[in-house]
Amino acid sequence: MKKFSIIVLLFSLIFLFAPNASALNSAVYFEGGADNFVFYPGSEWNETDLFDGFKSAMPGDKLTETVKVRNTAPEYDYVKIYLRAEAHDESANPLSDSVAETETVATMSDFLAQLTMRVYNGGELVYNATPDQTDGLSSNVLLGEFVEGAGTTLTIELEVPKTLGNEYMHRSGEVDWIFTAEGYVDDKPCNCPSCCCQNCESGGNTQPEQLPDGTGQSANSPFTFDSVFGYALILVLSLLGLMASVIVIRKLKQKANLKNE
Amino acid sequence: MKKQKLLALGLSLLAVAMVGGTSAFFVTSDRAHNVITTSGVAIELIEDTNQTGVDGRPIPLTNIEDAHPGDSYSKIPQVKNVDEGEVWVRIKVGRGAKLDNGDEITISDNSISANYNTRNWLNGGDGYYYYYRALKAGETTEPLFTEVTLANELSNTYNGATFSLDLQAEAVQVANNGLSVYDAEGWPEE
Repeated sequence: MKKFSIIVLLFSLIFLFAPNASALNSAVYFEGGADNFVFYPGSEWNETDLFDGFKSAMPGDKLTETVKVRNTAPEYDYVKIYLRAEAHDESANPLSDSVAETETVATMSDFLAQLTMRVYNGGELVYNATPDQTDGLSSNVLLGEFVEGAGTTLTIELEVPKTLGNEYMHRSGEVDWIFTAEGYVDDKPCNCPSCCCQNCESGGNTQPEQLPDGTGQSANSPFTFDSVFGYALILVLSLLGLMASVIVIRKLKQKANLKNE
Repeated sequence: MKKQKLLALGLSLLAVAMVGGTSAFFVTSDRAHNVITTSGVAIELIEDTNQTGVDGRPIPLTNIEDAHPGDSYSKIPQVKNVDEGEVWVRIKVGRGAKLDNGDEITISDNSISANYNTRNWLNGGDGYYYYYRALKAGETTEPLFTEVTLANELSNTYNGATFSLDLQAEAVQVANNGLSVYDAEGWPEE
């Protein structure tokens, strides 16, 4: 059975101390406005890091992290929040600088392939694979539809095999998650939790905990390819429907004319 | 009149489609860079003596030269945990001699004895002494011994020989690895 171990003959090298992992809760707030998403608490590795509890893992560890996802944007009747994962490569999605200091995409993927991760949205399993894979999060997964103050909780389980060898000491791996929010203002009835607020807790009135003081990072990307494509599709279908209506009516008209003749 | 009906029908269809598709009027995305890291195990073997150099630091002792039967020497081996996780620790003590003719031989435990600290170090009977408790980050063990003594009965073969005590310290993680040092698995393979 492999575990982290070491032999020292005479004098060994001295390693730097690393800080112990703290036990802060992780959260994602959709704030709307200019801030959009805010990630909490972040880490020394990245200010958007949600895996606070997955630091300094050891062989045999079974770790659990919970991430609260909340809609705190007041300007919408409700918001749909989606999650997907994105794999890393050297060009399209390179590693963060902090991880790239000691890892390449290949070495990091090898490290992550040793681990097992499961992600639950509420009680629903949405991901079960090694963290180098995107698995069930390859495309957007709807986490729920939330009124202001409502949300869901992601539970992430990480297993480190007992057989993990010394070559995986002091390693790091990056798992990118993309959160997408669609804000709606319409007359759709929303009697949380029975209707539109799937997975929301406390009847949709859950207020967010203390917001981070600028610890999150946001980036505006108001229209995704999916949404633009959706609008275009609706427009095309509408035009096709209009054309079909014209053709049918014209044929009916022709038939009526032939009968009259 | 029919043209007007036709136009009204088309516009109605278009209006219905557009109303259904524009309720989501704002879409935004953002990325979380989540990082998983592992810890590690690292120790430092300290082999000081009770003698200090001009800089005030203890002088380490590895070889015993110009020795005579019955001579005693200060040697204080300790292990320090220099990583972030708790570790179980053990030490193996080897004895050797380099004879005057250049031959290097292994000598018996009785040839060089030590005043083992059996209160804190447990003789495993497998050549290793096991530290009695887990060593936390930054902690240093109690000394394995503080003095070694050459046997009185050394033969003339060892005239001019250089004696050595070869210490090998090993550590393995405490996390998920037994309730005592004897239960621990995953020691480095010899």
